[in-house]
Amino acid sequence: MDEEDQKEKIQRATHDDDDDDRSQTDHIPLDLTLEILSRLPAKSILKSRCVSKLWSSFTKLPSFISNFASRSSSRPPRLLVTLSTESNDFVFSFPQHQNPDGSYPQVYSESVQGLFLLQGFKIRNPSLRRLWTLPHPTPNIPSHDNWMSYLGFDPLEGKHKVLCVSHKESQQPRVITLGAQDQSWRIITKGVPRHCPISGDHGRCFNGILYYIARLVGVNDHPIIMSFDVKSEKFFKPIKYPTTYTRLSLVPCVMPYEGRLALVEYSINIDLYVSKDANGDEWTCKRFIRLPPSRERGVYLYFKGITDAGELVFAPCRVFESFYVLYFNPRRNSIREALFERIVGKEFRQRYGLSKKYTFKTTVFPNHIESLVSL
Amino acid sequence: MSKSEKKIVLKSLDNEAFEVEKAVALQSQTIWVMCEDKCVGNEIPLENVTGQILAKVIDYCKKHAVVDGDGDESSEELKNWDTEFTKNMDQSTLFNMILAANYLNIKSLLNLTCQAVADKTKTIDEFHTFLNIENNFTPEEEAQICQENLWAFDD
Repeated sequence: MDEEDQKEKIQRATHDDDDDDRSQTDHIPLDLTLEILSRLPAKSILKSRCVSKLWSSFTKLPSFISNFASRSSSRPPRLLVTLSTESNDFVFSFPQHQNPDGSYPQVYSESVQGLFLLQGFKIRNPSLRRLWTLPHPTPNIPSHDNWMSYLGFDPLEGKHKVLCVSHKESQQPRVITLGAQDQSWRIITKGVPRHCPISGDHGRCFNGILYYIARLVGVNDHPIIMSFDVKSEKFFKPIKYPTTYTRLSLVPCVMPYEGRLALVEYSINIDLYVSKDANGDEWTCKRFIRLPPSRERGVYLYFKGITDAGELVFAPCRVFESFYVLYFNPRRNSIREALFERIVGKEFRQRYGLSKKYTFKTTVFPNHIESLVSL
Repeated sequence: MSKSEKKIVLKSLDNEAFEVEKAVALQSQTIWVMCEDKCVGNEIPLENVTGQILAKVIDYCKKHAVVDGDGDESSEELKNWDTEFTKNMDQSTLFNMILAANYLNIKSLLNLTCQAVADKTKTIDEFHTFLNIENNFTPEEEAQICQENLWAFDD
C-alpha cells in the first residue's frame, strides 16, 4: 500500500468522531499523536504495534522510521554492552555521558542504536532484537573468506549500505542498500583504485564516508586508508598514512576524533593520529601511556573507541559480575570511571542456566542510538 | 521604538488579556507572522487557547526569551526548569499545551510537551487512553503480534 494512502486511512480511522469541541482535551489530532509516538523509545514503539493494526503499519513506514532516527540521533548516544555466552548474546545499554549513580541490578534489553554488521553478511538491530542475513555477493562461490564487508550510512538519504571488497583482484567491489526492494549487490566498475583490503579492520563510517584500511596493489606494501562516499557510491583518492606512523605491521583503528579522521594504534601506548585535512597530507600525533589495570581484581582494560565527546573508552574483555568502563579525556587529561555493578546477578545466571562462576565475553560499543530500521 | 510598541496584548479564548514584552510573544511563529503582516493591532486575539493555558505558555516564553543582557541563563538551568515545568502537569493540561504550542507554532515548547507525554506513556492501556487509539485486532491477531514482540513487555 502506498504510504500516503495508509496515512489517509489512519487519519480517517482516528478522526471518526472529529469535532471542534475545544474543551475536549483527551483528543489530539493525528499529526500531533505521531509527534508524540516518534519520541517513544523503540521498545515502547514495539508495544504500540500491539495496540492497533493501523499503528502497527504506521510505525513501519519509512517516514516514521526516519523521523524516529533523527530524534534518536539528537539524544545523547549510549554505550552498548554485550555479554556473550556460547549460545546467547545479552545486550545492555547505558548512558555514556554521565556516570551511573549506583548499580544497574536489572537487565534491560531495550538496548540502542542502529545496525551492526556481523560476520557472514549478517545485520543486527539490537533495538528490535532482529538479525537478518544478506544475500551472498557471489552465491556460486559461497565462501566468506574472500570478502571484507563494511557497513556505511548515508545521512542525506538516511540509508544504510554495505560495501564488500574482495581480497582477490579479479572480483570487483559491490554495494547493497539495506531495506531496499531490490536486495541485490551492485558491482562498482568505475574509479576503483586497485587495492586489497586488510583483515582485522572493520572500517568506520562517519559523515557519510566509509573509511577502511587497505594496501594499494602494485605500488608498494604500505597500507593506506580507503575512503568511499556512501551516497554516490564512489571511491575517493586513497589517503596516505601519517609519515610518522612506523608500526606498519599493526592494523590501527580508523575512527572520528572531534569530527576529523583519526587513526588509533594501541599496543604498549596509545597513539592517536588526527588528520588536519581530507587528503591526509598532515597529521598530528598524540601519545598516551596505557592505562593501569582497574582497581578491582587487576582486570585489564582495552581500548574500545572514542565517544562523540572525544573521550577514549576502555573496558574489559571478560566480565564476571561487575565491571568498570573508563573514559579518558585527552584534552583535559582527566579520567572518569563508570562502575556497572551486578548487572548479571545470581537470578540472571539461574534464569539462563549458567554456572555461578561463569564469566561473559564482553564487547562495548560507544555512540549507539536506537533505530527502527528493518530489512 | 517607543515603550508601548515593545509591549503586546494577547487575548485568550475566554477573553483574558495578558500584556507581555514583544520579544517574549514573538517566539510564537504564529504571532510573529501576524505582527509582520500588520494584520493586527497591539492586541492579538488567540481563539484557540484558554487563559489558563496561555498563562503557562507565557511563563515558558518568558523563561526562554533572550532579552538584552538577560540571556545568560545556562542551558543546564533551562533544561531543569523545563523538566520542572511539565513534571506536575496532568494529562489534559499537557494535551492542551501541545495543542497551544502547535497552534502558536512554538517548536521548542511542542517538542518539550510531546516528549513529556511520550515519557508518561508506558503501558498498553496508556496507549489506548493517552493516545486515544482504538484496538481493532481480533483476539487471535493480538495474541500473535504480542507474542512476536513479547520481550518489549518484559520490564
